[in-house]
Amino acid sequence: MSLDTVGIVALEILNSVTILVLLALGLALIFGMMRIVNLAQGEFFTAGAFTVLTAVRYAHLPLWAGMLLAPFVVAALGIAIERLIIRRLYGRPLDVMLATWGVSLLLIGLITVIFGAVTQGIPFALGNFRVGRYSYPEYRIVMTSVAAGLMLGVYLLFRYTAFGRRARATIANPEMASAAGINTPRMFMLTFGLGAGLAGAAGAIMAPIVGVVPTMGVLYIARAFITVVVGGPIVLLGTLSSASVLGVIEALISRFSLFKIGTAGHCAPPPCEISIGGSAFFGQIALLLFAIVLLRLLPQGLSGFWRQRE
Amino acid sequence: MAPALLRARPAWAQGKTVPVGSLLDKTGGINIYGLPAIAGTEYAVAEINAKGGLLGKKLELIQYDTQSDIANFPKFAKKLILEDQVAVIHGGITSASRESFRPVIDEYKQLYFYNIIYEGGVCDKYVFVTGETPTQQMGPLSKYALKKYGTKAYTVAADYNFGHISWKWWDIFWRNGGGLTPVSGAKKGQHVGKVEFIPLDVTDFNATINRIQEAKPDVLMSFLVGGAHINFYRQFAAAGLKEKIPIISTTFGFGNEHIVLDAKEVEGLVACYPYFDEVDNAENRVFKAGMKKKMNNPNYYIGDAGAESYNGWHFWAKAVQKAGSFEREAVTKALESGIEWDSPMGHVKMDPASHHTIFTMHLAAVNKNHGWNMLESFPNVPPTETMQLCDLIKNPNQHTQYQPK
Repeated sequence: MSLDTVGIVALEILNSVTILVLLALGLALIFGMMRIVNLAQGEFFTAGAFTVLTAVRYAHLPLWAGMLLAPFVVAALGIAIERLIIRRLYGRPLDVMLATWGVSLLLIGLITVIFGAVTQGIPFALGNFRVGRYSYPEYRIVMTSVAAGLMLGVYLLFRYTAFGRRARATIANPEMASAAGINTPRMFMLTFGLGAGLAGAAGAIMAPIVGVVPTMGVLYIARAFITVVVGGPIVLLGTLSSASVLGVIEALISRFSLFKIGTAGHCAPPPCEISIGGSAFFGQIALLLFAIVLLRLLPQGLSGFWRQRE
Repeated sequence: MAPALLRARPAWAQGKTVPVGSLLDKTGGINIYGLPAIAGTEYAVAEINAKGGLLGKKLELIQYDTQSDIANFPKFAKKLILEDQVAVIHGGITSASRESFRPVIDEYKQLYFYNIIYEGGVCDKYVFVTGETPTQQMGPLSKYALKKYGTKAYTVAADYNFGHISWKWWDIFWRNGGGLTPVSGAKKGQHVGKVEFIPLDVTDFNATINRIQEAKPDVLMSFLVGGAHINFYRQFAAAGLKEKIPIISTTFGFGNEHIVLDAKEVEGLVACYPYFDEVDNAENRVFKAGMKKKMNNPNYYIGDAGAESYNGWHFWAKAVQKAGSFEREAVTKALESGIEWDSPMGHVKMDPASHHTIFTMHLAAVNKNHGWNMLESFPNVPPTETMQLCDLIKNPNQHTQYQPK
């Protein structure tokens, strides 16, 4: 393999990991920490993308302003949903699932009514740079930087601030935290809002490379959940490591053929064979298969496994 | 007992209206084609009704949103046939959706129109096709690309029956230099890299785009389908490849992708359809003005999917009038008499034996203003790949789809 191919494959891996981190980060808080199976998480992502679309197309703001706005708009949406619905259902996981599924359908419906069910696009500056024979979009590096920044920001927030300590205390033991004077309903609300805002940020940053359509969240929610579940109980590091492992698998299988099997029927040029691996289709399959096998072997996820070994 | 025998004979002769059905994806990833097709459908039915309907009866259009979900097609087709008792069904978009409910059509012997570009080969007594097929698109496209760009092609295709069968035909056309059999004196195409089949929900094309760069093709053939695949063109341009590798496609544009995408992302992409809004004739001027009024949008772009749905309804209406009946046998006989007329896309003719349509095809390139520049026109192009295999007059009991072995 030539050096530029090594470079481009490394960039592809980085890209896969980036997308998984972006998708999973908000859910890591809502599902990983708060244990809320939020089936509307995909629509928070969609709402972020539509915020950018609205800002750019209708309010004629610059693209970066729309992207900065998106997490706040979606966080506000998340807080409203927490206040109105989720708050009444803490400790009732099945009801929460049903309710958030309803919220998901409602949001898809609302966005469809407002914007129409059409796919829309957000054009962006098309810079690219060379890696040997390849040229590669600069925007993907921007995405990686944003994902890293968000990850680090969330880590610092929960590790080193008073808010973070209170939020962790609330989630670890609500009664105790409440007895210690923490306003626990407020902490739940803010954490949920933060998780929603992070999904909004992800939708906003990915909006220019994907089609913006009311049902877009559905395409991403499964991968978001899988990443968080594989990550296990140490939420942030677990999510990061599971995004890394799954991203590497997805990117490598998407790129390289593993083996070939012969087929009958039309093909050109002969010999008639299809390769297993080497396309996005097999990348997705590999990601799902790997997650299933991994959860069979390590039911607690990656970080649960480390914790056991300590 | 066969279910068809249980079916009460619809009372089309008695009522003041006649129910007619349409199955199109108003929502979901396939609605980039569904929405224009619905607009064309509603416009055509309204137009027929405004002129007094058919045989003295108004049409009552019953539409179900199939939601880009294959499972909805057989379900709603049955509902249209058994509950609504429609005289005709139009619709179906992806070939996967069509094949999911064609057995229902055959089981109940229901007259059905499929009004969209597809991979060819459907040979079914109850089915009429007003969309274009591989010969009509790939013939002109491969000749143009071989002359203009070179012989090395890379192919990306949607991963379902449309993409796979299109690839088989495309391989034949490309290696023969633009024909079903070798074209003498023409340059012959070859494939580089691989053919890539991409599932409809893939939105990230990073690895595919890098593989295309490795293969260094002279031209890229796209059979990509649906809202998620629109991202391919944007990501391709973002990697700086738009100026380096020209794209041709049998699918780009009929979902109005050139409206969604920016000119700097897709300007110059070449496609081949019987209808572009830019086609100039008296019928199209009336059609465009009427559609803009209906959609309440002076910039509305109709596109191939809208025009073919419109044509499908008018083909049917003309056959009903000719037959003097809504009954399937009579209407089929009228359609098999070779109905032809001047539509917004120019002169169109239903080929009696294959139930497919003969049109004038146009090569065009995406321009700077979300529209197309017409390059070249090819009058009266027949759907040869299907016509050479399918004769429903000589052999009427066929309900199959032919494809290259």
